[in-house]
Amino acid sequence: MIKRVKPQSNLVKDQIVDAYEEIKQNIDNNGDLEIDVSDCEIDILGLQILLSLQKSKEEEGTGFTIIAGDKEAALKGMMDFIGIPEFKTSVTVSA
Amino acid sequence: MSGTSDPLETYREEAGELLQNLEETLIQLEETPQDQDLVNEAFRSLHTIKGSGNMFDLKHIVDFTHQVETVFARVRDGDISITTDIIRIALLAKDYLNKAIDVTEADQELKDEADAILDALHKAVPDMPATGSSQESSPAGEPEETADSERTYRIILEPAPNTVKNGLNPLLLLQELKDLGTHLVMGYRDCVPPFEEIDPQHLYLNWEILLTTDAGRQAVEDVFMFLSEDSRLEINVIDESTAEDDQIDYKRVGEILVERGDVQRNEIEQALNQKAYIGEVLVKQGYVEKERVETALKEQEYIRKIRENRKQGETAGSIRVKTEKLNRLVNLVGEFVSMHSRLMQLADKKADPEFKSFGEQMEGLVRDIRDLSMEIHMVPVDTLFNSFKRMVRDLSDSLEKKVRFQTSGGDTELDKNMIDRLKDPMLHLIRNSIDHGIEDPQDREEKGKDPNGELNLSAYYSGANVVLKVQDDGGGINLEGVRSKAIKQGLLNETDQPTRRELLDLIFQPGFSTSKTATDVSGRGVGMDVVKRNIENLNGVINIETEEEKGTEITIKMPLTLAIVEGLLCRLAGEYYFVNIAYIDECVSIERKDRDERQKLLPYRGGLIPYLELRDVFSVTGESEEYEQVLVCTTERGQIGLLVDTIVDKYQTVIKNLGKLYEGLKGISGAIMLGDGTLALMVDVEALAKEAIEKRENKLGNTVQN
Repeated sequence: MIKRVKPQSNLVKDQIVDAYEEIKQNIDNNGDLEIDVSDCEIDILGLQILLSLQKSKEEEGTGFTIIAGDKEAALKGMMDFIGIPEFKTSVTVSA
Repeated sequence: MSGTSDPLETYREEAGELLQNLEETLIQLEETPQDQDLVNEAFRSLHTIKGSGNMFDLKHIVDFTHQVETVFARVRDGDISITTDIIRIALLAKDYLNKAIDVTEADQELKDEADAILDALHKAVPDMPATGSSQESSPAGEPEETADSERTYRIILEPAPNTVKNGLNPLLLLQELKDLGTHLVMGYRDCVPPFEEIDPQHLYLNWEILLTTDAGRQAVEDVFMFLSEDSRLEINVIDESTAEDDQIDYKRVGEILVERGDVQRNEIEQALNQKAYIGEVLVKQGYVEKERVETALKEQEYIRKIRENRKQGETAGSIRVKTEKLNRLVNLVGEFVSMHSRLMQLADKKADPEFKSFGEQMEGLVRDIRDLSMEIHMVPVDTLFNSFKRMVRDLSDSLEKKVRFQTSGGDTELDKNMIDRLKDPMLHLIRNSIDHGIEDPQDREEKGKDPNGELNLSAYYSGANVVLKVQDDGGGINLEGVRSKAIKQGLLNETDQPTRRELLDLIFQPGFSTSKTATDVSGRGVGMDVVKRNIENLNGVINIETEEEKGTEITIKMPLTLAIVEGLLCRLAGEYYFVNIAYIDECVSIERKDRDERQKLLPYRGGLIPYLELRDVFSVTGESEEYEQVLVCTTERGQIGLLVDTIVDKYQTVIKNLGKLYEGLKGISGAIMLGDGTLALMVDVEALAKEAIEKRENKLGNTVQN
């Protein structure tokens, strides 16, 4: 069973706490996760949230997918800009 | 590597360029005194002049520059602000250094000048240290920077957790660093905790940035000016262009990891005992995260690449060559091209296919050599434009006028000789614009104009020519005033009805000036005739357009190069004439009966254009061919057809002067030598077109009046 989460708050500095709480309340531990950020703005703190989710899911050994939609290029562009390699192969950035 | 064998001479050339750059920076800084980049740029220029001067023991340069440099260091540190006084004195300091670099020791006159400038500087800047050690502004432990000192810095950046919360965006820091030079940004995510443990407002990411730049340590440190103190920031030089070690290979992965503090030396030693890749062992043993090893490998690769590029640059970079040598090369290439054209003509004449084929094979080679030699002799007109900035500033100050000086098209390239010889005529035009064109701020306001006058210099390519424009938004030229003055000077009769164009041309008459008062800048009527002559000596054309109260625009059209001219070789009876291809739009054949001999008009592309029979102009006798060739030329005065018997061939050549005896020959501006030694005369298209078109305009004017 894959849990799908689509935060309503943007993953940016001013809304990051709300976005974090929203995700926290909606995810299941020990289950595959799809996070849909296709309608969200993302800044460096937002990117950190995604990286931390990835880390948790890696540690659990469960799947993690980011649905980025139109935001895919922007997300990849930011990761490239700050020199963070793309999400590992086990984690899909899906449009 | 330098084509100039004397290192001191090389220093002087480089210092001269830096001083020119300093002057431009100071003038820009006067307009935008808050621009930190310009402050740094001024500091760097002075610092490099001082540093290199030290190498040659030029004490008078080092001590003096140190004082001036200190001012910019203090501006950079936020201790003082740029004032107009500082700019004025710094410009005087630049002028002093321009003279001082030519001598190894200052004479009394130079010493007095230096003292006066430094005195002024001490008055203008509070708490200036007395003359002393010139080493203070160098970062501790690092050698003086020279123009070539490109360094690679390893920057370890671990921003404090509350960095973003406190309003500092790390992306902007990274962008500023990237703007300084070649870079590799490696972000670490190993400090980002799992989701359950994260504080979403904290910044966990950290970076290692490799930055290769000649901007100097201070410029790198300045990027982190607002980074909070509880952040970790380490900036270390890991490679530099002055390193004696010219190896391509860089440190081993283990060394990099130890240097960065990722692992301990004893952990490396333990890993080395195992017969496996050290990185793999270290990760396996849990001594280091995998991404740290990966970035160490990336650092190795980055430095190797930088060193390889540098090595290639050393062997295939640029060299300084004396302009005289370059001029000689270009002239020789010109002769070579000319000889080739003669050879081809001979081959045609002898009708020897082998000879002709050989000549054709040579053609591509000759063209490549010609293009390359022309290319290396071209410089951007910015070098010319920038040299006027100081003059505009000083002149407008002394005349108490406000002038906004703008340039565009500075990357347009022209033959270096041409640029050198254009400097005086353009200087004269700019002076005229400021002195006589642009009004006083008060007058401008009364006229409802912006009190800041505009003076624009622009350049652009137009076919085989470059067009330069000097435009101002001043009062323009009063044509009625020109007419009255011309009558007074006997250049016109009261009854003459000159056209607008003829009135404007009077400005180029020797001794002609409409200025009511002569100043020490201009207005004595000495100049515009000389300007025109100088431009025409360079095969250029000058033209004026003006509108009263709106301003004046002077257009100078120059050929791209002086050395080689491409044109069409034409024949009139048994004589050869050469027409510069830059004027020719098209060649068309016409039957004699189709032209209007009375009106001297030719049908052309659905309209009519005036034409000139070169047979008439040059008094060539005999009957012309039934079908004649028309060279349709575009000139400053408009389009005109030149009628010749036959077009022989396209020809590239060096133009020879006719000498003083034939200087005033109507319609001829030079000569070229053909393969069999006969001469062909170069047609002065502009002069012929001017005469013919004006004659026609007058005739039309008279007809209308009658």
